[in-house]
Amino acid sequence: MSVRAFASLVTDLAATTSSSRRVERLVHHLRGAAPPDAALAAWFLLGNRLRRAVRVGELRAWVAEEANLSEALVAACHDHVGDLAETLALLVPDPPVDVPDVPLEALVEVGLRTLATATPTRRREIVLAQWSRLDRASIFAYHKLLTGAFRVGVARGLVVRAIAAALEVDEATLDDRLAGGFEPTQEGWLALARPLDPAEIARRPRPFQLAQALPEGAIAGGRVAAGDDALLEGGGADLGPVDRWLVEPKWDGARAQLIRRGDPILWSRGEGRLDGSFPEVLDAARTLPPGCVLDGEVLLWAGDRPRPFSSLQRRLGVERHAPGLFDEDEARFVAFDLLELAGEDIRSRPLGERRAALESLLARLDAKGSIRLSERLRPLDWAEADLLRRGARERGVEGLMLKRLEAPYEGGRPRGSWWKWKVDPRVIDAVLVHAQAGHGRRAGLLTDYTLALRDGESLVPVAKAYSGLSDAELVEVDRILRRTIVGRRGPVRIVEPSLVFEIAFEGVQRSTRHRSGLAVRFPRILRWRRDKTPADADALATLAAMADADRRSEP
Amino acid sequence: MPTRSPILELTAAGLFCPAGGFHVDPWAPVERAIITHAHSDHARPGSASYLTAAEGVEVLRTRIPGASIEGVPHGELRDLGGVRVSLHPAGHVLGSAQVRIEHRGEVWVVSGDYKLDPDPTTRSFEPVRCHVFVSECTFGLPVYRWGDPSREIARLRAWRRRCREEGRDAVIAAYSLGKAQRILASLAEDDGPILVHGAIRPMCEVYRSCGVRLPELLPATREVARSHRGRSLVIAPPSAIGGSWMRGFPDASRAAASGWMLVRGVRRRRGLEEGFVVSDHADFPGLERAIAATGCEVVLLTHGFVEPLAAHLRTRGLDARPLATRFGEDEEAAWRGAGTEPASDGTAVEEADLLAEPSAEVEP
Repeated sequence: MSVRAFASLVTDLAATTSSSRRVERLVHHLRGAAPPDAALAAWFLLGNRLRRAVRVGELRAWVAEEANLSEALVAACHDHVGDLAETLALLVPDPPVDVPDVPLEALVEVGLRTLATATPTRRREIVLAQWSRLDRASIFAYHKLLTGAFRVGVARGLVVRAIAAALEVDEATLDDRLAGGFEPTQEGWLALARPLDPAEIARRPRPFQLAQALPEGAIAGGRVAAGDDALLEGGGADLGPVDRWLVEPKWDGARAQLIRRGDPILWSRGEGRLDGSFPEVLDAARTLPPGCVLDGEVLLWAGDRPRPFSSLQRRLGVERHAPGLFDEDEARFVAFDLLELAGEDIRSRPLGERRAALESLLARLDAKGSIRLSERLRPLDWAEADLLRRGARERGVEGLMLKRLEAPYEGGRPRGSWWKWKVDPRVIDAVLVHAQAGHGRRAGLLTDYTLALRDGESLVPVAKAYSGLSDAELVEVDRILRRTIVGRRGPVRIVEPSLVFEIAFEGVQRSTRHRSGLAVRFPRILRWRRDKTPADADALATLAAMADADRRSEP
Repeated sequence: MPTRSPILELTAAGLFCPAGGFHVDPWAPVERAIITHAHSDHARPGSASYLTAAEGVEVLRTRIPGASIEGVPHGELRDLGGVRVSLHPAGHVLGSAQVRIEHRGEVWVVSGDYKLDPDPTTRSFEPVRCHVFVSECTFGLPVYRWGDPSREIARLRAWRRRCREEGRDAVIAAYSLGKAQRILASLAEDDGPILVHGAIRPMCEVYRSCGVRLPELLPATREVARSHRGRSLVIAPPSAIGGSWMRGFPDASRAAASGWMLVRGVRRRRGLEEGFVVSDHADFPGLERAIAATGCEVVLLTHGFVEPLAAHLRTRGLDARPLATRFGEDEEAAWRGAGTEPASDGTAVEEADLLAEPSAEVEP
């Protein structure tokens, strides 16, 4: 696939909203491409990226220089367009007409990979050389790859379906092969089309099964409430009695498979191999009989309480364990499923059987070790399950998982088999005080809001939120904001406080890094409170009380 | 900048020439209005008398029925209270003009809206030497650079053929005065059947009566739509594209022709499959070129990216300043959904009104 074909594929994918047409375009382009190019295109579309080798500031400065524009004008353009890669592509002086097309592989090799080790002067030469030999659409694609913000809004599942079709491989088989990632090379691409060698298979995780989200208030007496059927798309309007389900805490950790076929491997869904980050888990895994694969979550623990996901950050990305580095906290692998036992793939067996096998497997281990069994909760009915869910925050978990006991283990997100049923979010009413232009679909509209709470006479920012309003509301809010701008700081517009939004978030903690002294998790907009004025917004003290309530419930 | 009182000043009703006793494109009813072109943000009803380019009289009469309108051929001098006034082609839409105003040896030109690209439906822009140039700057950011418009038309026709092969109607949004006719005039009979929304048809008839050749057009009624299902090319105003009217064209491919289509976010926000960069305004290099060609000492910028362009022109040694007007509330602006905002010093506050959805289109 040439760079131009790749650019036009990206354009095509953005243009159509029909899934079948998108897959069609993908298949068409992947089939027509040389293997090295197809590999790269697929690799990027799957969401992989190269490490960013050029700073945004450098790119802006080079463009300003080449186009003979002030940096302020380039910044005004970026504000207007929203997307940096696109802004810069629109500003680069027109390349000579009829520039020849280039294979994608050549661009990635010359225009991207060599940047990583180049000096600043050399980096500039490399980037400018690409500008002079690519047309505008290709420059846009190049900038997307360069800034590492390559998102075309195509779900991974569609890309997998297209790759499977292009390679004429069964989709589930391909997903198995992709589970461990693949190298964006000719060899990597061709390998996807043929069975893996046994050594490679031994290193790979199974495709993870994921849960669907159960809508708020969905369960009433075990029946999914009317009106929510559409959300569930018919997949289980009646959950049946609660004892047909395995009910577990929803852990807030890093989802991972512990692979003990030979030497143990810890493979996380989001991060790839994590062996070096959690040496105590790997050590414990050596006491498991070889030939098994466990599914679960890695968490850090303080006493008998799990610590939130954010506490894992320090461990992730560590490649080799340095003695003493992790002494102050304890990592555990909390196992909730068994995919292979004694070298046999048991995924097609019902969950009930797999759970029993997992329990007897772990019964042999040290009960106080780094591999633990995920607790099975046994509510008598759905009302009691709901009580357990509501109490989740006090136990440091995110809610409940409901897993159908008869169901096999399936990669992806099979309907009606696993549900995540999260604790109700915390809610406050906050005032919009700053706004910034969004990106992608929201480019050019002020859609990224900073929200504040009352503290005496002043308003103190507590959260940034980007989502939750309809397109029509976004446009309406944008109009109001632009009339009420009172100042600006770079791309940020300071507005006269007038709009109040109901904000939901997962939790709040005391923080020394935030001006408000509080850090909220996953804030998002629930709705626009047109009926409220800033005077009706919540006080900072209310949020502080929530943080303290959560902390008190810790041991 | 001359020290005498300026030839034009800003009043509550708009740009006013005290010496000549007339307004240019006033936004409130006045005695005597000189109109650059018939778009609703420049030509508003209620004034006692209107003066416009002879070629634009019929278009203006369609937009403001019953008005007292006098036409002046391009280039012909008029004496209004000792002020010499003439109209010069602006290349924007049929009958559009720049207004040249000369008084005591000083010349001002009000550009109205203009473009430099060729357009089969209107006379091409002619630069006019002046001391003070009042220029629009709708696309006054350097990201806006148009390619060859004939290539965009070729892309449009290719999209239209592709749709026909897939058995889908092709619906394109275009401003009802100017853009729609420019697109239509660039099409051939074999691009048909071409269906036209009811808000656009009357203006097509006016264009035809003024000698502009357009292909055969069918009304975009439900019956006609049904009988040509899957193979029609439909032209409609931007406001119709998102509305219930579109139900008459299930599974249609949606596109738009506008300068704003250069930015992907605008296309995606509207759920458009294609965007054709065909604008009736000057792009950034076009603005720079047109302003330079006037040889002006002062340029006053209205509607658009006033502040960034003014700052840019000042770095080029020009005396460039913002001028707060209520121009720019036309459909080109409506495509944007966002963009300009009130300048920090409070000028150009009316620009905020541009942030309207396509409903900003006012049909007579």
